[in-house]
Amino acid sequence: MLFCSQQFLLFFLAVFTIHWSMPWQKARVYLLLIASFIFYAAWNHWLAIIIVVSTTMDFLIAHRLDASQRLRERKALLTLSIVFNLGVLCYFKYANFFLRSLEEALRAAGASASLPLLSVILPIGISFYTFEAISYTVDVYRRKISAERNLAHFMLFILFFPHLIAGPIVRGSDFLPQVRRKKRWNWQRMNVGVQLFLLGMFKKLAIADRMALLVDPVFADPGRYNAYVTWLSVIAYAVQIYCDFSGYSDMALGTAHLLGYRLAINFNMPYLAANIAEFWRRWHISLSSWLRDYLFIPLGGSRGGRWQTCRNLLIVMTLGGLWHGASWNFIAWGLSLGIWLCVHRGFRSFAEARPRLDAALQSRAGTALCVTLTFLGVCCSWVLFRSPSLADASRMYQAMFEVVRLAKGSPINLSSILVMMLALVAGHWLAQNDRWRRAFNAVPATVVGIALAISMSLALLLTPDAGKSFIYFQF
Amino acid sequence: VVKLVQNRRGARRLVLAWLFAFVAMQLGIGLALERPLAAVRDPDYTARAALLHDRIIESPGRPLILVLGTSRSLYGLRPESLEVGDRPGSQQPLVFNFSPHGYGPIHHCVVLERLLREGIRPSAIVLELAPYQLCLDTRINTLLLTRREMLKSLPFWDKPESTVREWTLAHAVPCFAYRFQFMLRLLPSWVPATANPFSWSDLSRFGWRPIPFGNAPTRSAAQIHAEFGCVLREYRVGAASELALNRLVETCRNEHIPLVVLFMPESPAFRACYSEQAERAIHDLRQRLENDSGMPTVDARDWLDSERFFADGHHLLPSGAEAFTRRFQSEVLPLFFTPKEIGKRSGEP
Repeated sequence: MLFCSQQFLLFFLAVFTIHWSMPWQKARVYLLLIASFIFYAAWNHWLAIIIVVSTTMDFLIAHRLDASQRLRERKALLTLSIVFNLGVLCYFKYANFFLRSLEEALRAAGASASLPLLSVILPIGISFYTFEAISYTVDVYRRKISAERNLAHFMLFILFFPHLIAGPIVRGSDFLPQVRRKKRWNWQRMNVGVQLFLLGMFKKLAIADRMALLVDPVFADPGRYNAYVTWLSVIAYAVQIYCDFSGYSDMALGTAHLLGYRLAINFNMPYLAANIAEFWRRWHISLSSWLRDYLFIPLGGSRGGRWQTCRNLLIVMTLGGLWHGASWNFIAWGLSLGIWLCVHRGFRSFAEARPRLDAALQSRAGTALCVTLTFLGVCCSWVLFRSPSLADASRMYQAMFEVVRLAKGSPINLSSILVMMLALVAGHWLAQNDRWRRAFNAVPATVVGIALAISMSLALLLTPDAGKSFIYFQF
Repeated sequence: VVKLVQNRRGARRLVLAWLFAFVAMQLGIGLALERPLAAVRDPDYTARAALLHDRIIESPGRPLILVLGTSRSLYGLRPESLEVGDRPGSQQPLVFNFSPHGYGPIHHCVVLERLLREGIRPSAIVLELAPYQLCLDTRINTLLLTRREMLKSLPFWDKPESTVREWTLAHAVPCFAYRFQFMLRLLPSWVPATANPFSWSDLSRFGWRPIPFGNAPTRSAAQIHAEFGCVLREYRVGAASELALNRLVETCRNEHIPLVVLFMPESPAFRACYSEQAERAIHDLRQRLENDSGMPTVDARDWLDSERFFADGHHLLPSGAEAFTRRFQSEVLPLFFTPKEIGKRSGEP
């Protein structure tokens, strides 16, 4: 059930209507719980049972963890919870990858190995809800929050359908108090919800899916197209993944607002970042903050020396890459970003020690240069992320940097791609420094409402595909 | 980016304005698709009907022979090549090819009824049937239909309620359901090639279209057999197609329009796919049409005995279309008109 499908809109309309027509908060929680279960079971009802079982397990462990005063027992329970959650994640997501890699390694060593592969389906959204469950148990262990007493509330925290499939990764401390709070109809909140949903829908349908028209054929046959088209398709992929994922997050935030809940923002115009560290503070914020709080800081963060910090960054980014998918591409992608972060730290110290260089970098022109270089660097890293294999990624890089080559031109008419890219740039320009809000505030609310209706119709009209899945659903 | 309206009344106005404007816009477009935007709803029909209107205006009073068929006749019958074809002011029959791509008798029913409603009454109809489509019971795309046509077509569907639901959902959000049709008019280069099945763009003045995949290598007998063999082995005429045929026959009888059923040429490799049961079923169908309905049938499947005329065993290349059209003139047109009425081919004594 995709957020921008008719099926979801009808489902949501029913949930929304029943939710706000019921006066009892308890009944609303149960309604959302049932709706979330139906939403998840629409993909696979057996996998919906797995998530319910693992959530119940986490609830019980956290309960015991909270009640216990003995450090050894608490540590054992925390370990049990983490091992259980990561065990489920590894079994479904990584087992076949590890087996295949082991088989290849044995073959490379000369052994004639043939290891059996598991026939498992990857539960949709498993990476997201596993991290939510782990953060909750760790927070209970750290006594940052108390364990939730109500199983329905806890289940809603994990299963709440707006964030269930592709985040944002919510924290118990943010979400659980909202479940307990009585919800009241609020027009301001509805307004925010509608606008966020429409913004996300436009990003996904009109921009991301259009970029896919160029990206898919070029990445399917790397090396077939000339350098210009290959570069354009790499930039188009950067636009696609941003609009696809941030579009999903906006729709998730919008639907949550419409039901009276607030989820944390996940994106903050990441392609305007002037360096890679800033990029990660603006991109998939809920994941990068999770990695910081539950992996980077426990590893020692940047408290140790330079080498220790670099080691921690490499570990965190490599695992962050692996979190995205079970393939060497994602590991290489994470590792490359980790190296870039280390280089950036080194360069920052170097520049800070040289006031003239630092001032030049802080100037308007210097910032524009840094933003451009960061964007191009990120685009290059997306090649690893998008390519089906490392060999394909290397063919893409070859095609990007081979200047004089007789190869095919674009597989499609590029005008639509370029126009939508410009639309995104214009959107960023408007969103910066509150220009958008100031322009909107100067216009009567009714006119803004009509403009939103027109833009929604436009998004539907510009959809080049029907039912293209969100990229992050595979994670 | 989101506008945070601090004022509660402002927020309410904004949300309600959005909701009403969106619903009104969709309803308006949905209603407009019934008539003013009919060209968006069914661009293929509109393009052909416009061509037909032009031909009728060019030479008013000429008896119209309308060819209703499948892609086989779309690519295979070239009225320009007929002596009677392209001669403005002539009083000889006007043959117009009104065959779309990919549809069967259900679509022909709709087309004929639309033409009659618009005041175009053919003097005769050549109804081309593709045997494998009759077996597959090829339906019509409900998005092409008006509400009235959709309701009238319900007997052709196995699950009429799902047809009504599909049509209603599409008309609830026509901006999405008809997006490619709209975009083809507004920004054609933005429409993905895979979503552009419409075939009116390069129609000739009399409705013929050269086969678009004519340059592709001719398909081998094995490929043809793999594609059509299973359909033509366990053959039976589908119930919906049969029903549509009966309705067509009845309409023609009520309107006193003579009707001829035509089976287009097929390559030897394609004909080899027919099982005995399939041949018998087609024979029975022809018998039924000739005896019960009194309409002549023409089986032209073996008229062109060489693979070189075909792109894929059953779609004619332009050379095949030329050859078939010549024989169409001499063997099908006389079923409606005397040779004198038809006239002699140019260049002949």
